[in-house]
Amino acid sequence: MTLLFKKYFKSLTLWADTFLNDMDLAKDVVQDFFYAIWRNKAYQSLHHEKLASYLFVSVKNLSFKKLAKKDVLRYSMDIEYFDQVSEDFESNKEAIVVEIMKEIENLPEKSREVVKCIYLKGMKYQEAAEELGVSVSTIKTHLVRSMKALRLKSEHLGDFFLLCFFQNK
Amino acid sequence: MKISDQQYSLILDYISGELEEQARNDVELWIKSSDENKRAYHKVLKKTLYTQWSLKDVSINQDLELKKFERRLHAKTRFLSYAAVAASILILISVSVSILLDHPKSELDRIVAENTTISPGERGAELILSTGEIIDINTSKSQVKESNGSVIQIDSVSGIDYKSASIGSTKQIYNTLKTARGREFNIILSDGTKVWLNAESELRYPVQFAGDTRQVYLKGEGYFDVKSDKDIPFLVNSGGHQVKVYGTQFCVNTYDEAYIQTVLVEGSIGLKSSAIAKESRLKPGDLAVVDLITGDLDIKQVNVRPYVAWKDGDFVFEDENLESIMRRLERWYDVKVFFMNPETKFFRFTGDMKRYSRVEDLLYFIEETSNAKFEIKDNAILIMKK
Repeated sequence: MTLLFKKYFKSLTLWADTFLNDMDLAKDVVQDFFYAIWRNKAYQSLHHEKLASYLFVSVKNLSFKKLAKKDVLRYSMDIEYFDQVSEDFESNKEAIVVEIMKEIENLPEKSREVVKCIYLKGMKYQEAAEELGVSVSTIKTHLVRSMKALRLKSEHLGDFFLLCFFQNK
Repeated sequence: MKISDQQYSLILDYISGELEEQARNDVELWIKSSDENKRAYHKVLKKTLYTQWSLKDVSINQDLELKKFERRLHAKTRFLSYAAVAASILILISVSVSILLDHPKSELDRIVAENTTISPGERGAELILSTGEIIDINTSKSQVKESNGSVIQIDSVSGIDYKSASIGSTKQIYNTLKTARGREFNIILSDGTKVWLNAESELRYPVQFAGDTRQVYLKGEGYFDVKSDKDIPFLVNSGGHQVKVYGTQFCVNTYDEAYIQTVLVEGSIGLKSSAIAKESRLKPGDLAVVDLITGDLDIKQVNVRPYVAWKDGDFVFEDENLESIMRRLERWYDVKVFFMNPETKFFRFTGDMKRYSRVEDLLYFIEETSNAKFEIKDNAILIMKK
């Protein structure tokens, strides 16, 4: 159980947070989920190949349950794409995280602060603007500039892994 | 496809949920209006998701969460135990609990990849022969015959020895000794000169020295203990920079692309920053830094130990900034280092420790005596302000 937790806790929390945009809530959802697995002895019926997809789908559904209806609509159009991106990310996580962190480290100080506020702390533009003492339009400018500057080798890598994934099937 | 900054900004706003209903519908219409638009939107979405996940992934303290989770499991177990006492079937239940707890573990052991740990460097290198053949030096002992007839003794413990190599023809052929990240090795050249090669370095040298100079080529970092011979000078080349040796012990460090450091421990050496530059002589205890861009040469007296202690298996830092310390650890532990707060790069630290210790122990000491805080995540070390 501990091993299961170690392997999947972070990934599932990130996944839940993607929908909830609330890290603490996401952690609680995943903690509860693991606890439920343990209590119901559900792990006995988990199969190796299906394990990951079972966990991810469950956490997604749990997250949606926590959300108000209108928010769900926001994602309805892209949900399949989210699944796919998440799969890509998980399949090559170490490399992607290292690459992105390196790229972020290379951004100018101000831009880095903005990226952290928006994507790490999940702030609204207005909140980020107040936190950093700049205008909302400055925040937007930094964001566009930073995201354009981020270069991902793994953008293509993802497709490659997807290909392998299908070939293995 | 190229999209305008304005459209890019709108997409980002849309993803961040910053748009009013009308503007949101407009963006959705734009996305749906063509496959090309959809692809462009997906590309931006993927990038933001990756960024968001990466940043947050690094920020989650897994150990803390695991403790929380385990406490919860144990609370449940304790409750079961009390019930068991009441029913006087304590043994039965605790056995079943332990089975229950053990069972998934053994099953999942196979599923779950083991945690990677960071290990210190070790001895090892690649020897590239004149024919281009690559020999991986990790087995205990072997002999290799070169194309000119020389026999080279390779011993993973004591190093490579060319001195005792039987003399083949005098034709000048070169070997290269190459160490990867996290590896070090040492070698005795045919004239009896000893060289220690640090991690991620390369030394090219003739199997038998011939002619009126002894020339070798270095990348990375090497410590030289040169056999004195007044008639045949020993020259270390790296880039355009040349060290002329008059019998001596010294260390050359070329890791940085912008400059080369040479520190003299014993004897005397002459330094030329380029083929045409004037030679400067160093005294023992001198550190010479050649700026490769301007060609400037700067010489000052230092305590040599921090510069050469690696050869004896120590890490010594003397008021060294964290950035330079971490670059050294990167090479030796083969890890990636990230400075989450750039100002931490300039924190300074003094210390003396064993190079073969665990990286955790080393970081612990730095953390205790500085304002930096470390987190190890798989194969990366993150550095933050306390």
